[in-house]
Amino acid sequence: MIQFFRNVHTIAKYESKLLVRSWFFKVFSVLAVLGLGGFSYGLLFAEQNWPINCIPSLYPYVFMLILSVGQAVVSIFLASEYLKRDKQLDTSEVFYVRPSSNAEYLIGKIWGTLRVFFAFDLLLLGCGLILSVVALGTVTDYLSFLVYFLLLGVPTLVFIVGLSTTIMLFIRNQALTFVIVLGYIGLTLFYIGDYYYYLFDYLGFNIPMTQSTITGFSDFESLLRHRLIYLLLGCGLICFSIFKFGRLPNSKKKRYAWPVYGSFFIVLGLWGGVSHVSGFLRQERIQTEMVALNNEHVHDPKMVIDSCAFDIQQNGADLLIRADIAGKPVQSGSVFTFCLNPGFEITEITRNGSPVSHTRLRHLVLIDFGENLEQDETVNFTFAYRGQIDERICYLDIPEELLIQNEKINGTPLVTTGKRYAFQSDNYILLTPETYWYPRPGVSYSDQSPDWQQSYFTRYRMKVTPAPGLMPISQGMRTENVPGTFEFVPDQRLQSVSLIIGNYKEVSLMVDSIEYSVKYIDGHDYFSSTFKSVSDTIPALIRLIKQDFETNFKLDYPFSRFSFVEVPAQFATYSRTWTMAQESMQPEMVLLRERGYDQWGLNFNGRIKWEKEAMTRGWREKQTDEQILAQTFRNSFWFMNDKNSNFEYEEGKLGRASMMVQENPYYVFPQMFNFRYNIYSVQWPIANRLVELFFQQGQNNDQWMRNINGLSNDEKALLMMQERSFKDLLTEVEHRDLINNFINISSSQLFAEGQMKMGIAAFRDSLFSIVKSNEFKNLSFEYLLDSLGKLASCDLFKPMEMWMKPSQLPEYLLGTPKVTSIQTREKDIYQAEMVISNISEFPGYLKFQLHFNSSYDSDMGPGLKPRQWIVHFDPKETKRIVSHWEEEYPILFQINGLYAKNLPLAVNLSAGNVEESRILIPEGEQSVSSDFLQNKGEIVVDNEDSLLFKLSDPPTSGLLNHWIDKSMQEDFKYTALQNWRPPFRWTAATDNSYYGLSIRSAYGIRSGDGSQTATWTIPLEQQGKHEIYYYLRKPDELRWNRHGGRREPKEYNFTLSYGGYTEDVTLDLNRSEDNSWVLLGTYNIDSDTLTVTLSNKSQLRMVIADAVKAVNIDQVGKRPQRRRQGPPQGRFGPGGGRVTIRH
Amino acid sequence: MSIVIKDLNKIYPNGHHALKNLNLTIPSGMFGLLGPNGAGKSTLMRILVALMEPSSGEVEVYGYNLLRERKEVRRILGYLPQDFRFFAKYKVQEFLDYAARLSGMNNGRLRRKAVGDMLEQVGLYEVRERYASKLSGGMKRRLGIAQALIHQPKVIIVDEPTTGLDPEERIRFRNLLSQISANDTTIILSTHIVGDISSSCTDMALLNRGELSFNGSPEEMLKRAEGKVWRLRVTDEQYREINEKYPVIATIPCGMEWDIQVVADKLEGYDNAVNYPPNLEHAYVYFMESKLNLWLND
Repeated sequence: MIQFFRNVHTIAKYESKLLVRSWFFKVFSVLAVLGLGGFSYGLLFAEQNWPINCIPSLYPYVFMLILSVGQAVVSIFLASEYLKRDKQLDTSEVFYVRPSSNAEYLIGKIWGTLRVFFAFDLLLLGCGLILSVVALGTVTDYLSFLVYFLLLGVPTLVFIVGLSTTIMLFIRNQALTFVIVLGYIGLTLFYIGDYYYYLFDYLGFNIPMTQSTITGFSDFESLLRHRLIYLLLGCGLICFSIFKFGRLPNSKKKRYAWPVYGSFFIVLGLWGGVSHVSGFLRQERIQTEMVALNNEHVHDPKMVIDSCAFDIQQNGADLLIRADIAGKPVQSGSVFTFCLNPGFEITEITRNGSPVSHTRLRHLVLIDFGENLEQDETVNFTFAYRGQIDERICYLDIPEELLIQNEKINGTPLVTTGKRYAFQSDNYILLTPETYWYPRPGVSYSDQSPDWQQSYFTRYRMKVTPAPGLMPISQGMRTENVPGTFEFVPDQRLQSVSLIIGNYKEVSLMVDSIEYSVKYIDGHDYFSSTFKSVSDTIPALIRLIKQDFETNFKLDYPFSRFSFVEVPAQFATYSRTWTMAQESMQPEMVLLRERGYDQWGLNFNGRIKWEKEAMTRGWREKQTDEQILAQTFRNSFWFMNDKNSNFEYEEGKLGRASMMVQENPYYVFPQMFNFRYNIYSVQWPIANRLVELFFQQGQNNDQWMRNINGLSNDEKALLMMQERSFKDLLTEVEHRDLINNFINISSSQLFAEGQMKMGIAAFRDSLFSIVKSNEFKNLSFEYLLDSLGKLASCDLFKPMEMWMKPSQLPEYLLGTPKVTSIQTREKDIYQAEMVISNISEFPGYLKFQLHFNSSYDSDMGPGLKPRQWIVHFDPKETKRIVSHWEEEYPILFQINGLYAKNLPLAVNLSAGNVEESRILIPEGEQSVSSDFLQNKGEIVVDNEDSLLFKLSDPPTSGLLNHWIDKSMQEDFKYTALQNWRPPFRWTAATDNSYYGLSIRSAYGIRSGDGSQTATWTIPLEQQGKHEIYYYLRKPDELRWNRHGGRREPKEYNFTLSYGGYTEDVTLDLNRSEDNSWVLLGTYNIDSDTLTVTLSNKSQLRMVIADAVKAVNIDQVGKRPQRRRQGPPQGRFGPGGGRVTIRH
Repeated sequence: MSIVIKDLNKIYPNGHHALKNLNLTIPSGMFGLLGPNGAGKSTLMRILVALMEPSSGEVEVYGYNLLRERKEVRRILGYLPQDFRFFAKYKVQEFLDYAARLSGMNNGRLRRKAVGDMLEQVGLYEVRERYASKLSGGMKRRLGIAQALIHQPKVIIVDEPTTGLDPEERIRFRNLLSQISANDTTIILSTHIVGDISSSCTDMALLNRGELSFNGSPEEMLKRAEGKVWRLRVTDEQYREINEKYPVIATIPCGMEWDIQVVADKLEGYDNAVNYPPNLEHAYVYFMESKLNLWLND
């Protein structure tokens, strides 16, 4: 055996020499040093990557990831190279004839290769460590450098070397080996990725490997198993290569031992793979079983917990919990269902000191009280249980693909954090209500009945005895009457409580009777020293921040404590369909992930540095250091203001792009609403969310999201709601990203009539006052609707009938808004009028809003606030909406269809020039004839006209074209036109600024050789002199660069054909008005048809095809072109599109 | 006897019968293995150095069965292949050290001494730090023999060792082999250069088409060829006639005629032909020719 190792060592030593001296390796080394050096500099010094500053293990993690991919590729070549070399050179034979065995020889060769890479890795990691120490100082995680080397570098290299050696020995062709293994790497890296629970992720690119400084890896056991799979497979393949090695073995018998060893390793590796996958499958199965159990017991009698007092003792990683509960049956019965984390062992359940019979079905506890309990009869009983939680109970409502989807860290490439929903170890415990760490009445998530999801306010108390030296955190005032035992008494009733125990330190401050605190893990205080110099002003700043939020949400903060609690990096939360609150938001506290790594706003030092740099460069006004600190402090918490976060831009097919958005887990709104109010409904569990979203209307990013996605989420939701009922859509997990929008639209449907009758502001105030009078109480949705309905004199239950079937949406044609100035005897009046027609068979409401010049200052100063009201339309009804204004006239008409077929759903129309008039129309809404929307002598053909508007076929043909067509069918018809990435084929988009009636759309295409065309065929009513207009909405490059590009010609090329004549017309876009009809020319047309063709030949990046208008001058007379014209009027043409005709 | 070969056969997967029932005994000392290209020399060598498995037959090397006791055989074996190039990135000393280590010379001090001595012996000590790729052809060949000898093997197999060497290097190399063979070592020298054998081998075998044509000492082989080599002077026409019937092994122009040497049992019709004392090359031709005739007659 000693000789075995001696020989292996000898061969390895000399193989290493060869490798180190080879040019290939030298080049790789230089590239690796330069690449990783630059990368490290970028991360540690240039960018000062915030997540790495917070979680120092990220640096060695990402460093090793990059290195291991590079060396995996190089090692394929090198591993096959020595076999090729052996094959080519007789010289190898002088070694083959030595007494060393095949195993010694091949293992020596492989070890020789591996050890060079290992040594190189360690050397580079050493350099990385030095850089890390210089950049991060004491925060550097020294051990991680070794840990990631062992977890990432070693298994990857052993596997890839084993694989390439084996393939090389079987196919005996280095080039082919290289192609196969490289292809395999590419396939797993770019295609397979994290499929099958990361099973094929031998490079470790997707499997979460972030190490929290608080709790380490998210799932070390699973990670180790995963890495061992590839280490074992690599060893197995090496054994097979020894067997297959083309040199006569020393002993025939011993040779056959190697496939046995190989099989052993491979079987072991495969077993690891199976157990890895089965772990996930088991989790899925258990979760399915839990949901099935919930479905089975969802209608069992339930209790409302009136009060609950916990006595909790930490015993190592275990918890011993006693919960004294006072409950009241919601309906009478003797057996009541509770839900408790299945990881806990129930030691006893007693009532008045006597054991109570109970049945445990995984997470469900069916307690048989032995007698019939009447509704609202108080029953006291005690739960005693112990053990550790089982995380599999968490998020049963979240689709599996979302649960296993890995969490990437924004701003730090490649790394994944892993997801944990709870933690329970000797030195750290984090239990949120999602874990069901305490018995809660009823069942958990049921996919068949919303009955499961009832939340009630309970009076909680908690006594916690943590392990020595650790600090417990929960809701309520904390006291330590007995050393080592802490009591928590919340001021109000709460819907849920959480428990956190860890090595926490705390800084706190009382401001206006509210205790603000930061509870951080010992050693993680990176902020105190930064703000030391402005500590006196911190209370005032906190007061301002609180006011900012309260003003923004129009709600006040209801608790007497507010704290940031630092939790491990892997703590993951999901948005839910029924609440805005994610688990990271608990009553009175925000669970902030490790040092706030996911919020750049909390990088105080980085922000201050940036502010100072900006000041030096003149981007910011000069400020003192104290002012910068104060401003940084105030702005740092703004991340809690946005409903959405993590915008993900994704480039799609053929120039399309999309923007995905995630809900912000730190959105602070729930502290002011969800934890304070509880609107419940047995039939509509989304009741609370519905009211919550109604209060937040206007707090969304719909407009700029639609600029990228082509449709707003509300519009997408409306398209779906025409197909399926709201009730059905709520249960369809594949559309869960639009759930908020379904609910939002439904809230518009529900409250539109009430708002119309009471006025928008009064309705909102009434709703709020009802909700507010039920603070920290349970408020029935039905009671709320009934009360509101009485106030508004309408039946608010009626719109809910629409939720049970696909929505029937109104469709509006919008006339041109007009503002006129009228002099009366008493005063001058500005008269704003607009005609709107509901052309559908269904009634509807729309929100009509007028903005004034001074409206933009109205939030801060005395400006005139925008005026808004709701207008009702019967089917086929046309209304003229008139309003009178004295001091200012409206400059912008904002029409929001609320729930309509119109695209865009919300349109902003400029009022245009104020003209003088003598006709005073009475204020209000009057039903008028639809003739008000028609213009005599004008014919408009829009791109929406399926008969009169045609596009040329896409330039590609054959299979590719077919495939593209097929792949495009999945998307919505409308997308967004990105000027920096114009589409390769005609692509439809909607926008406020395009021409259209109910759908304002246009087609855009990348400019080219002119082979792509859009053609409008205009049926003329009469022959004669016509002015031909094109509706021009300039491409963004001209809109954004109005002056810079003027020297270059920017033209569209049209061809007009009529009665055998053909005429080319060039439209100079630089000289044309934007968002208006521009004249192409005046023609004496003696035929009944005119065709206008726009080609994609242009100096611009994109050509947009919108609408063409023919105006018969003989009929309307010559008239000056209006400089700015609002959206045109019209009616449907023969093709279902829009043709405007004046008779 | 150091090596005993019994009924050795090698049939390649393509059906080529490279060795046919070869029986041969190789004593210690320098043993020459002679034969034309394709005779099976290299196959035999590769079998002897355990790089190739025979199809059937037995080989015993110093009492070890080559098929069953390869490790033991490899331990006493040194091998210098014909096309001996180097891993360009090894230094002379490293290469030799590598070979020594793999041959079981574990004691570092002794190994370093052995390497130094061997480099002295083959005249490469001065260039020990030079990369092997920078050596001349002769130096490379000497380094080749050095690696084959470094662990003092009992059997050394060298394949075409002098091909491509200049005369001085060739003589030097032969002398080196002769010195080594004096130490009770078996050296099998496979070559098609007859001169290598005549000047150094005490025993030899002649292989042709996988069969043993001759086994014995070079002198014995010469003896067999005595009276079979003729020298005569011929005209152009006669030359053409003779050349068609017999192998002509030397041709010297002599005015309008040719002075030639011919290998033949009898040379009838040429009275001026006189017997000429054969050398090993003549003998080799004689053997090859007579075997060829036998096959043709078969």
